[in-house]
Amino acid sequence: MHEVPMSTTLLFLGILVAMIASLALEEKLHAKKSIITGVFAVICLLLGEVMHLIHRPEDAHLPLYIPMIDWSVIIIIFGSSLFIDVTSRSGIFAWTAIKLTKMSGGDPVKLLWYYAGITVVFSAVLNNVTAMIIVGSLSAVSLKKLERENLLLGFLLVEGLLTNIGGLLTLISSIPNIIVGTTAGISFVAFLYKAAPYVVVATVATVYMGLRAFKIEKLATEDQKKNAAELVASFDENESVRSRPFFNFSWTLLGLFILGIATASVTPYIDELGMGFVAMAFAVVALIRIKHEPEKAYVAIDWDLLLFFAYLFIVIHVMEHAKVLVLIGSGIEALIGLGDTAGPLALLWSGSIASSVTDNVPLAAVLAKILQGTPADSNLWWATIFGCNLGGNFTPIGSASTLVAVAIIHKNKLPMSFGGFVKVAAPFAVVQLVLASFYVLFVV
Amino acid sequence: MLDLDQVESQFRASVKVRPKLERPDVSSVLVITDLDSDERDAFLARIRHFLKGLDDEQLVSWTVTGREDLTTVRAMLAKVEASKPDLIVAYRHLFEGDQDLPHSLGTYADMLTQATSSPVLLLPPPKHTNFQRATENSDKVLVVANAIVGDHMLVNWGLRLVEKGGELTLAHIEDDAVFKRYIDVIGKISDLDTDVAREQIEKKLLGEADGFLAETCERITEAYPDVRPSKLVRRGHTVKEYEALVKDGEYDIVVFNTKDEGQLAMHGLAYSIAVELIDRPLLML
Repeated sequence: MHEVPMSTTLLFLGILVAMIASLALEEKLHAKKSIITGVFAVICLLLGEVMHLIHRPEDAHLPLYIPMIDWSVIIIIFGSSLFIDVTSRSGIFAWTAIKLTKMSGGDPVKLLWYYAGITVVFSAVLNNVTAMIIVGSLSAVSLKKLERENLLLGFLLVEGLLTNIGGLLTLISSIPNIIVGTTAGISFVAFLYKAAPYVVVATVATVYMGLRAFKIEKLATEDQKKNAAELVASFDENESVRSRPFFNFSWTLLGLFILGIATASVTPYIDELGMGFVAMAFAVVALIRIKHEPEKAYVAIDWDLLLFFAYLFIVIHVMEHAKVLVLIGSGIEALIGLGDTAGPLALLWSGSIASSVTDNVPLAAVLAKILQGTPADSNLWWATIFGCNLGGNFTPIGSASTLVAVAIIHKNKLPMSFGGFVKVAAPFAVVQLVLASFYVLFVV
Repeated sequence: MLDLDQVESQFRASVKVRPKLERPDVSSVLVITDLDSDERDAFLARIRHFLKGLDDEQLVSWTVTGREDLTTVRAMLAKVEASKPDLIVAYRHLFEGDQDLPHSLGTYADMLTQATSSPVLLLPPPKHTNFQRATENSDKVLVVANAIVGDHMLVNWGLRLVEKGGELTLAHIEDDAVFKRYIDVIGKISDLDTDVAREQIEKKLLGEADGFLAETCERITEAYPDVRPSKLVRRGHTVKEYEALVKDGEYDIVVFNTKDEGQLAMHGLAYSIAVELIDRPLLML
């Protein structure tokens, strides 16, 4: 590794801090993530080239910034997004959500449990933003139908907090999971096996706290139950199903997709091609269903998100060459060096606090780079994963899904300030992190 | 990435209005006439013959007023207010010399439809050439409304008035002019695809009405086997379409809503139907 003057490292550290600060102020800047990281990627590449920090491998035939991008991560996100977009057009997710609404009989307590369940599952299978949009929208419509709009704020907040719990369930449920998990070499099944018990416990704790905090109670009288049951019965789950064959096809394909992703690391040939291949292969199969108009699915791809990751990987690669990661790593090492108990806890809590005020993806990417080489069974990986995911529950800007929750809250003209969110959400986040601390120390 | 508004629309669309069928209670009927006492009994007998479906269903108290009872519009309204009938039966051009004037209900009938909360069954005047024919049977009833989805009262009144074994038609005609106006405006908004908007709006407008009416017909068949329901959903010039429908279908009674929420005056479509269909009994809710 070449020598880099400390002044250069500090200059690039400043650039990294400026980028993270800009991402935290994304709303104020009225600029999308991809634009912010794109600008910093251009600056980093130019400065890196001028300062001779980046060296082209002699046999390289691609532009030097192309190999800087972690394409396995990009392709997993791209393939899954495409696949989920096509299958969701069949109405399977809306159908499930409405079916559960009817099964609740309109009882608010049952409804919150059911919505909590689908929020977690949808966050795990789809992504936390999509889950929040589906369940949050349905909550607004169903509570209005039940004439229980006074409970909407509580429902949306609990659901928003649960998206980040659901995002912990599998290796592909959230971006930090994909980045940290793939760097650590944790398989899909191993990830699920270790994360699932925590997700169940944290979900139960969150819903229980939500019921008490927002005074959500069961229907008391038979008349109330009868009336509520009649109101939810007016929902027609089949309205969202455009074509029954497409609907059945999507269910089947979704089952196979989960199976394919889960077994990718142990299936001969597929293990060499990786999860990204599985995601893309299923996306292609799903697209056959809308082969006459695939552009509709292409348009729905979140290009801002994909380009954000691509630029971010470039920035982090340059930071690595500028020895910024070594500098941060020495600070992290100091945290880890606090001991087997205090070290992981310090990493978990500091990670969560950092990700509560800025994007958790750069944090996950930086930490993953720093921890590279640590054994896959180390609890430091899990401290990082839990910290990056759960920190988003402290503030409305901590994760994209809580931002969506707040957007739905405001769309329904309910009062919720930044401070108001923190005041309500912080006790939930603290309980989730205490549970995670216990889990990291004694279970994983 | 899903769009929040699109997803909400999908869920809102999944909320269906279910028909609530229940024939309204009609235990008192006030028949308002400008006839002399010697003509009233025959007139009442004719009305009871015409509305035999009412007497078949339950014991009905019939009250008939005449020329000497109601000297002014205020006296008529006071009488209605005092008796609070479940149904008022009256005819056009009450207390007017010329009972054949087109395009008008007459002052008394106008006030009845606007200033009272009871449904008004408005007949052609007794001396109208079509009176006898118009009050012969009530075995073909047409329920008319542009906002029929969820308007259970209209359907239920249709069910109440139709004779046993009779035919109840539920009609929904979307106004072409209104539809065209909105599509024209959409055509001037570059963010909206005009073809998609035309197709989707028409599909949703007619689809919702068709779904509701189809389910209502099914429920009527189950709950009231003595009634033969049918539905009609389409786009067109509303008044002309309804006029043609009533004439071609030879309907005996036309049921429609006259009041918009928050106002007593008859709304545009209702008024047009009321003044055009002068030779048919109209139940105005």
